[in-house]
Amino acid sequence: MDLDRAFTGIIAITRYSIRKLLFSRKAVITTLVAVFVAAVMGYAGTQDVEPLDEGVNLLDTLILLFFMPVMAMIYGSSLIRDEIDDKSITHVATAPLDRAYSYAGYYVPLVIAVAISMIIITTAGFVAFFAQKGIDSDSLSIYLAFTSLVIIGSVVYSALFLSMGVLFKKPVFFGLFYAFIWEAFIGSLPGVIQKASIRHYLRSIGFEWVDYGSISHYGQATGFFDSVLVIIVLTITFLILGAYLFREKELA
Amino acid sequence: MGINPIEYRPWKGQRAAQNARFYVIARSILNHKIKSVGVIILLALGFFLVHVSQILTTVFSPHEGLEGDVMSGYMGDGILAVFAMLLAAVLTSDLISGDFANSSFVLYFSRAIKVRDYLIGKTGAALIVMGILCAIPPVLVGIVSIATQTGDDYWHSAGILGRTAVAGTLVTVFFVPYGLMISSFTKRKSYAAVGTFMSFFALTLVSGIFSDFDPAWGVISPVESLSYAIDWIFGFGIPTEIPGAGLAAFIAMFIVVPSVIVWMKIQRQVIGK
Amino acid sequence: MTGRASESDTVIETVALSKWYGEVIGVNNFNLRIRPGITGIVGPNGSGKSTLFKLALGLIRPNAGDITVLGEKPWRNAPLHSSIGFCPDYESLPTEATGREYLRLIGGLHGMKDDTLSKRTIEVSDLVGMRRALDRKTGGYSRGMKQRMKIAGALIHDPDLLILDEPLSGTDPLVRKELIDLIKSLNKDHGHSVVVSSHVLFEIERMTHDVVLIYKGRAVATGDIYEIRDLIDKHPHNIIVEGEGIESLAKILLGEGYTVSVAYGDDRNSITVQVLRPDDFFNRLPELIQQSGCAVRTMYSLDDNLEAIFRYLVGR
Repeated sequence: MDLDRAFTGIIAITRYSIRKLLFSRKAVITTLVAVFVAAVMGYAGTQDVEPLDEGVNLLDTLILLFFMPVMAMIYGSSLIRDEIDDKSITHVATAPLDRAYSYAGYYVPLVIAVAISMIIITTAGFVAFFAQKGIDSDSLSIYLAFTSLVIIGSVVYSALFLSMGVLFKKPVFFGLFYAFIWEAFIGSLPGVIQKASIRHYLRSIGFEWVDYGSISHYGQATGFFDSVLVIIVLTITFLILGAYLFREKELA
Repeated sequence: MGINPIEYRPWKGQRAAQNARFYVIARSILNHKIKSVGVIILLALGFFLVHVSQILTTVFSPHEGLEGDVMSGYMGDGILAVFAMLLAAVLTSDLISGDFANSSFVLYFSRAIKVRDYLIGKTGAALIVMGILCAIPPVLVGIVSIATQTGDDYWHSAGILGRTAVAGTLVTVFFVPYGLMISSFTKRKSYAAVGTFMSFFALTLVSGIFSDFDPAWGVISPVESLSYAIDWIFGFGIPTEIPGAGLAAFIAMFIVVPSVIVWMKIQRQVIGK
Repeated sequence: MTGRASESDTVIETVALSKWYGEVIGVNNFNLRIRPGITGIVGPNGSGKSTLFKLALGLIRPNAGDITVLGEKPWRNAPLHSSIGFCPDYESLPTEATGREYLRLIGGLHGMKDDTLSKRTIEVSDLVGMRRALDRKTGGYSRGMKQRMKIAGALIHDPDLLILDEPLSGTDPLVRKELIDLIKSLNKDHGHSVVVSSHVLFEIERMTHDVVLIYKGRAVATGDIYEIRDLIDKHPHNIIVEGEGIESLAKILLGEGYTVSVAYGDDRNSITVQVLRPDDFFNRLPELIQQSGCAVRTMYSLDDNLEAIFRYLVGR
């Protein structure tokens, strides 16, 4: 395989997909979610609360636990599946590009789109809350920590939901189950079972980075390097699985 | 030669089948839904996780009669509401969006069908499936409890059974109009399903956050408000910090406002706006 | 062009090829050899044309048998796609993109970039007559423009072989003529081998004499269209003639060598004529009508659809 040619092909899919992801109706969803988070955190900001702890708790609950998997699911599970369903995947499938490379061409823009979307949402919530309480170096470090966490989350959740789009005919329903039932309930159960959720490892990394709020007292936290390693392994596993399935898939 | 007039005379007879059209729509949807793998899985999972343990407890625990606190605890502990939310999201997701997407909407309204009948047909089918999970099993639990009770106050038990049926009906009805509303906003059923469930979940989440500032915010959680309403149906008071009027208003709003919006949306669509 | 076609005298070859989807058979024990030039694949809807193309493109894999395209097996053979251009029969243009953006996407997927891609975009849009519409969104294109743009997409990397799936479907007669001329020119003037499908025999006849007739997943006839027509003409055709005084025409028809039988309709104002060599029948008819003095109101062939022709060919 000519690598230069493969790279050009990946760039072509990336350009096309990123445009599709960032300048479509999904952008409206990002805007609505950002407004929603800003409204909730803005209201919380009017209350008499300890700012750093409450701000972290809100970012933890709203961003990390809820909207992170949900937005990745909305962007990721339909990206390849929609193209398979409306047959526009034919352009990619009839290109002289190994489908594993094409899969990378979908994954890269997905991560970028999810990360941008989550950074916008995080920023909206952060500004709505901390603008009332005062933005200082502590609050900025919290912002940086959560921004980094959503970028890491985008990498791993995108890999998961993109592979779901190849694996299942109705990935949204499986994604719905995973994002709301598995992550929300399994991830909140005490004991070892919560380690079966991605959010556990994100919170474990956050435990090392954030000194305020409930995340800083996360008793079940896995060690930092172990958490990073698990996230890297999960991402690679989902990517290999997705690329393999996409390569073997018959596009009838 | 002159003009040869078309001898058109409007038919003034009574369309006998008119009133049954909603039934045709409902039957078709019901046939489709009860064969859907996703719905079957949710019904089975919901029945197993929510109702089976209660039936077993009822059968194997000696009891004087059917008691309101037992039924209220079982129906209002949140698991039934979560499954009702999930099922409503899956059931309603394609009911209207699907018609927009594949142009069945034009097919329906090119016939002499009224918006009312269209919506009754769609809603009716969804409610029947919801009832299979949310209304019928609690009544069955009640009947099993009465059949195995050791006491002889059957009138009291029958009263609780009636309240159980009312509570089951409320859970059945509660989420469907909202799901239909979201389904009428999009052509894609996946967006409708995610939108519906995400709304329910987001309200629950926000209610949890705001309740720390003021417990009255509990009413904006569909799960919590349903739980309070079930307590009330079984004759228990609602917590003093929860405003009764606010709760009633939220429940009414959750059912009535989406219904009105769907009706208006379809009406506008039919007349081509 | 990559030159793969020039190395071989066969562009597509299948040997005992079978593909089924559950209980539905797409193609069944399919044997075929397509040579360079223009080849028409003709068959009614659901006969297996699209399945054959998907197998040729490596989008699906065969359950049994072999298929080679330009001498190579297509399944999991991405490099082969640099020699094939495909124009699907369904709407595949991204509606929010302009024609230029679409061509740049396809070009990029084929490893083209910078000036080469820009230059080729202009060339192919000129070739299909779409240069002026390049910067319009494809969602606003007419059916004919969309077909042209899809053909441009198939051409952008200058492939040896073009596979065009029903490129004429849904187009008006004028656009159809222009597309037929374009397809002929792609072979004659630009040297592309073209495999084009249709369910209308006469459309293919206007592009090429080499046809493959497919029916129920099998190639029922292959070769020159005139030979196939002769084959078809050996089977009796049913033609209905309606009008006034039709009995006298019936009597004259019975004396003609190509007539197999004549049957009256219920009202005796129509006859069903079964003929061998329908061309002879149609050529002689005006004279016979004049001789009989009847007034013919309507005439139509019961067998004027592809389904009936194929039934003849498979002996049903």
